[in-house]
Amino acid sequence: MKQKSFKLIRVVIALLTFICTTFIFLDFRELLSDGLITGITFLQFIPSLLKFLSTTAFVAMGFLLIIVLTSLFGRVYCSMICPLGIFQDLVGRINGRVSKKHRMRFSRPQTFWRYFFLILPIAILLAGGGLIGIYILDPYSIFGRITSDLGQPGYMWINNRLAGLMERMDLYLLYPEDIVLSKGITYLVPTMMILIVMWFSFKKGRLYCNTICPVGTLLGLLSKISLFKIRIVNDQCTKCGKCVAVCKSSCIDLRKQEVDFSRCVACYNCMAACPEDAIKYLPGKKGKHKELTIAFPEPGSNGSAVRVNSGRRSTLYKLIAAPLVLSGLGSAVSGRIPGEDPDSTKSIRNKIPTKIKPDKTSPVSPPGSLGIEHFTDHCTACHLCISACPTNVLQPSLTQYGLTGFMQPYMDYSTRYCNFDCTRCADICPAGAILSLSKEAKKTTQIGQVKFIEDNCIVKAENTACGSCSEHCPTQAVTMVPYKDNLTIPEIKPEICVGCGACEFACPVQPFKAIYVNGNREHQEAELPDIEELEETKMEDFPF
Amino acid sequence: MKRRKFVKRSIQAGIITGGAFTLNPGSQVWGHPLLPEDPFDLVAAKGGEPAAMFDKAIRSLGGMESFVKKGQKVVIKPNIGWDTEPERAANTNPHLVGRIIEHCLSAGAKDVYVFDHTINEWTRCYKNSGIERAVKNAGGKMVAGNSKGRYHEIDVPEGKKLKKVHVHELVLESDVFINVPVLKHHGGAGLCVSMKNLMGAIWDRKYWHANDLHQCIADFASVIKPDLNVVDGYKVLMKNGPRGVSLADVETRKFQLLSGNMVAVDTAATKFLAKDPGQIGHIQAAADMGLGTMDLSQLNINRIQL
Repeated sequence: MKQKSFKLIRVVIALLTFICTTFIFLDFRELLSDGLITGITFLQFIPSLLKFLSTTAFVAMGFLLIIVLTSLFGRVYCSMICPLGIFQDLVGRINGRVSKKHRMRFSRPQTFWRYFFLILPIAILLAGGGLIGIYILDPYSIFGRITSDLGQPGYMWINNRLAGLMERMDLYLLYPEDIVLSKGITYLVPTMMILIVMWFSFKKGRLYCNTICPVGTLLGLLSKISLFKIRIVNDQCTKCGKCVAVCKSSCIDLRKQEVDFSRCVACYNCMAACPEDAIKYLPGKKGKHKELTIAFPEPGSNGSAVRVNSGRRSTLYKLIAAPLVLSGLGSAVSGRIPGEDPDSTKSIRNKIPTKIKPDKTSPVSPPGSLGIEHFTDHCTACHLCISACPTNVLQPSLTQYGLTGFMQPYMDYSTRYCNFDCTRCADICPAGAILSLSKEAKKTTQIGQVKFIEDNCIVKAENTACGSCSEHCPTQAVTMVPYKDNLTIPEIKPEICVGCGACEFACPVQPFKAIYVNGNREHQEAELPDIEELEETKMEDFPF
Repeated sequence: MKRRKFVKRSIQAGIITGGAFTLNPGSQVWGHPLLPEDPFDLVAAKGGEPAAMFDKAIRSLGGMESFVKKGQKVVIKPNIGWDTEPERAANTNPHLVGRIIEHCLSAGAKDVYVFDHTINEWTRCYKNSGIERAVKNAGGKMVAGNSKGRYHEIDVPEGKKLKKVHVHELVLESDVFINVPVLKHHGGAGLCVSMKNLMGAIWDRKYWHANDLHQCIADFASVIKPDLNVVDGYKVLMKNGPRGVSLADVETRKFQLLSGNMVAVDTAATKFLAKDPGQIGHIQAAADMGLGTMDLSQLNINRIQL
């Protein structure tokens, strides 16, 4: 096969992965099966690596395949698998259309920044700051947040317009869906990232991938020892410069007739552009790269000036933390208190406003996540579960998990609750943060426990019937028991509660709910509800 | 509600409850209707499958033709509130819903729409209740009840607690409204029958819960009066309602009640469960408002044993 056709193959694969990966973040109708979604995310490097760490299962071995591919052919991940990389190619292509003059030129590698952004997240992790540095920079998760947080509402809006039009023609094929917006501040991160990435790709090709992206840098290190590398065949090259002009990574140095393969994203534009067939995959020269090992670079290696001492590390940590603190303040300023009904700013339904504030000591992490610790240690905040959750109970967190869990999803019972029979998030999580569990297992997984504040309850406060909480409770951990004047009042059995939040969602009183779920830091097993056989009703004739 | 519509509704209700059946449509498909000298106020069927009981019961009311005229738009409001399978009886029996649609279409209905403002996530409720499939097989149209924009505010002139309420546009626009509740135990409201089932036709249920639930249910019954109520008592959730915890909560009772009057049909349903209708707040409240009688001895009842 002529290597000139490699570009076509790359473009086809890239478009396929891009369309599939985009769609899983846009879809809100469960059009794709869990298995298909798992297949689509299988090769995503960071999630797969994290999933492997917690499951060591075959389904989590996608990252190994990437390592193998990279050590054979270089950074194929960056051009064919990484949705953010392909997105940048699309942006660059638009730019190519807008200004015909746009040509790439060789540039020197940004060695300092490359290793800085590789070491920084690892340093944060080692300093006990959690995964935040990694998932804020993981390209798949960045793409996920952009598509889920910014793209999906737009996609739903278009769906709703179309559904409205079709309904007017008496067609009921599409259905409108309410767009549940997250808290304003959570849009900040994806918006910032899309602007940064677009600016880079508009102006500088794949400079983002070769400067900021830690996955790019890591795979770049690995590609230094690739078995096959793209090289210039010296005696065939006429130095026409066509390859340089199309090189998105600016990594072809024509003067030295060398390709900096650690920065090459394996897009094969150069091969397609070369009129002499003088740039192509050639076996790596033996012994040339012997001194390199596949490992995280030690500070100061590669002759760069990167030295991370503990003082600087804490400074960096503060730099990252500062905006998060501000965002936390933002939520404080907006006056939202956990357990408060978001509608209560508009008007209060109940005549006597409730006074006792729910005492929530822990947020609720999704069922299958084992507990807060496992969840926050594995979640890359790609927001795939947020996109896929049929009830929208999963929402990006602000400070619920602390600053280091910023953007990781939590169960927000103020607007929705978890559907009892649904295991969607657990079935599709690519990072193993939410581990797959059977429907039956989910029904006894206690992610939080119900708490009841009788003085807030409308039955007691206003002497009126309600029962909304018990009505919604799938296990009857909340039942209505006789009160006075033919009224019934909730009674809770926390041991059979699964913590789905239906009661909290349904409770009509404002501003504070009378019933709420406090998260379990470690998920527990709920007891099964008592099942009593019914006494058969004897009724031979009509009762009237 | 438009005045024209309201007047039409009242007349229809009159025809069903007290008026004479001046129309004698007759249907070859479902057999000749047996018109009594005095039309029935309430039909109770017992001992058969849901569809078979409905066939007989509707026939004794003059067939679906006495409710649905050619070219009319019909809306059916079953209970599809929960993401549970049909056997759990938290939702209306899908076979019954399907059969009602078939009757409507064969009576000449232009379109038959089915919706509910579900409590659990709506796509799963529609699917797992079996109702979506039954509706499509029968030729009806399944409409989403989940978007606020489809609910429009109406006044409740006789309402004591409920003065204004947002109602789904299908209920407001349709020519014929058929309410198909499933009878079940209800932790908050005592029992869930036809009046309570209409809480799935409005938007803000929490307001009702926060403002005297029973009175709100009765108030709403004063403004939205279904042309026909079909109470599904085939499988009955006897406790842990309205959702139920397991199959152990369900008893197979095999009965069905039809009436144009919600107070009457809810009273009769309560008696089937050997409960006192006076203890169900909203039934008493609606009777107090003059929306119907709880004294079944005053009514002309047709009892059908299958």
